[in-house]
Amino acid sequence: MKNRLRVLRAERNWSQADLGDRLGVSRQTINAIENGKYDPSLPLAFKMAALFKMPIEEIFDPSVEE
Amino acid sequence: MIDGKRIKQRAKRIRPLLIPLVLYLGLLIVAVMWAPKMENTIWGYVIALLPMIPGLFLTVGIVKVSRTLDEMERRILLEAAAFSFIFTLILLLSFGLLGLVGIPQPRPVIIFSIMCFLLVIGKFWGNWRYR
Repeated sequence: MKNRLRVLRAERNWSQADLGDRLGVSRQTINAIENGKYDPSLPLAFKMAALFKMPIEEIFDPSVEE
Repeated sequence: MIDGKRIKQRAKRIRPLLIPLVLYLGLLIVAVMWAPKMENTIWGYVIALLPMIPGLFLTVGIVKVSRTLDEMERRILLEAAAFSFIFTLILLLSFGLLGLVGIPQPRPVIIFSIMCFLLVIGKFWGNWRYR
């Protein structure tokens, strides 16, 4: 699933490790999500939405399957 | 870049494994040195089995550490464990069938080593897949 995580993170000048710390996951997990290799669980997606203060569908694009 | 804070976090994460592991190694030395001298006595059996006490705590430690993993790390570990378990089972069944034609059976310690090796391979494969 495609997502805008990398862009949103870059806008805030956060490293993958910074974002991982804020979400309680590893840097590797953030990297895998950004590259579309791993789709996060619903609770993690909600955490991301709360962190970036935007709806889940503005972060993730379910229409494009990789 | 790995900073001091993250190294401390990682060290804290594996602490439940380190203490039982050090105790296990210490008691293993005691068992190897003293148990053969007390063969066929109650104390001999007790000393021979001493390393298994921290071994039990090691099991608890592994469960504790697995609870600190995030969702993707858990998935990688689960896939690695499944790969290791099934592959070892296939290997064991193959040896069992080869036993019909006289091939000697592997020792349990060899089987366990193969299982650990396959777990590590599975973990690397998972890390590579989700990199």
